[in-house]
Amino acid sequence: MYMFLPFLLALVNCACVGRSHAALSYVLWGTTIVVTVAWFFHHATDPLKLSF
Amino acid sequence: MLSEQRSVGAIMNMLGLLGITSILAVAFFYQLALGELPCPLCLLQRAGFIAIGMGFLFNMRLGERASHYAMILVSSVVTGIVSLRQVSLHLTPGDPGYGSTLFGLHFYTWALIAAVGVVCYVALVLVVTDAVANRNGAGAAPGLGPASNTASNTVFAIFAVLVAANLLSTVLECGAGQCDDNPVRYLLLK
Repeated sequence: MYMFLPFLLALVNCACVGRSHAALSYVLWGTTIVVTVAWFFHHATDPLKLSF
Repeated sequence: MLSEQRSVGAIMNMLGLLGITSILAVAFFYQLALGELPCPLCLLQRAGFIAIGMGFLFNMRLGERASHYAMILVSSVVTGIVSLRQVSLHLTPGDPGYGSTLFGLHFYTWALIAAVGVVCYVALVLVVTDAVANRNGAGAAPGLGPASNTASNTVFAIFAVLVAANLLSTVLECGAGQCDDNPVRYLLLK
C-alpha cells in the first residue's frame, strides 16, 4: 500500500499536461481517482458510532 | 471576432485552479509551520483536491470540454465522501476532533465545504460561459492573451510544485507503506 502513489501519479500527470499528452493525462487522472478510492476503502474500516 | 466565452471560461478555470492551489498551500503551511502531520484520510482529501485541480488544468491546457468538467465533479464527489467520512468519525458529542481548527472548523470540515463549493463553482462556470456564448453567438475561440497565459503558467507551476511537495512529504511521512492513523513524526526522519 503506497500512500504516496496518488501524488506520484498526479505529478506525472502534470508533466503530461505540460506536454499536451491528452490521452495519457486522462488515463493518469482516472488511475489517480481509482487509487484514491481504493486507499479510502482500505482505511475506512472502523464502524461509525452513528444511528440515523 | 473575439470570443468572450473562451476567455471567460479560461479565466474562471484559472481561478478555480488558483483556489485549489490555495487550499493545498494552506494545508501544507499548517503541516510545516505547526508540525501537524496529515492523517491518511487527510492525505486522500489532498489527493482529491489535486484531482479536482487536474480537471481545471485540463480545461486550461487541453481546451474546455464537458468531460473535463465531469472529471472535476467526480473528483469533488470523491473528496466530499472522504471528508464526510472523517467528519462522521468525529461527530459524536465530546469528541475533540483531529488536528487544529481554522475559523472554528476542522480542516476535514472545510474540505467537505470546499468540495461542495467546487460543485457550485463548476455550475457557475457553465452558466456564465453559456450566457456569454448565447449573447455573442458562436464565435472563434482565441484562447488566452499573453498576460493571461503568464498568469495561467504561474498558477500551473505553483500547483505542480505543491503536488511535488506533497509527494515528497508523503514519502517522508509514510515511506513505502501506509501511514499511521495518528502520525506524530516522519517515518523516514526518525
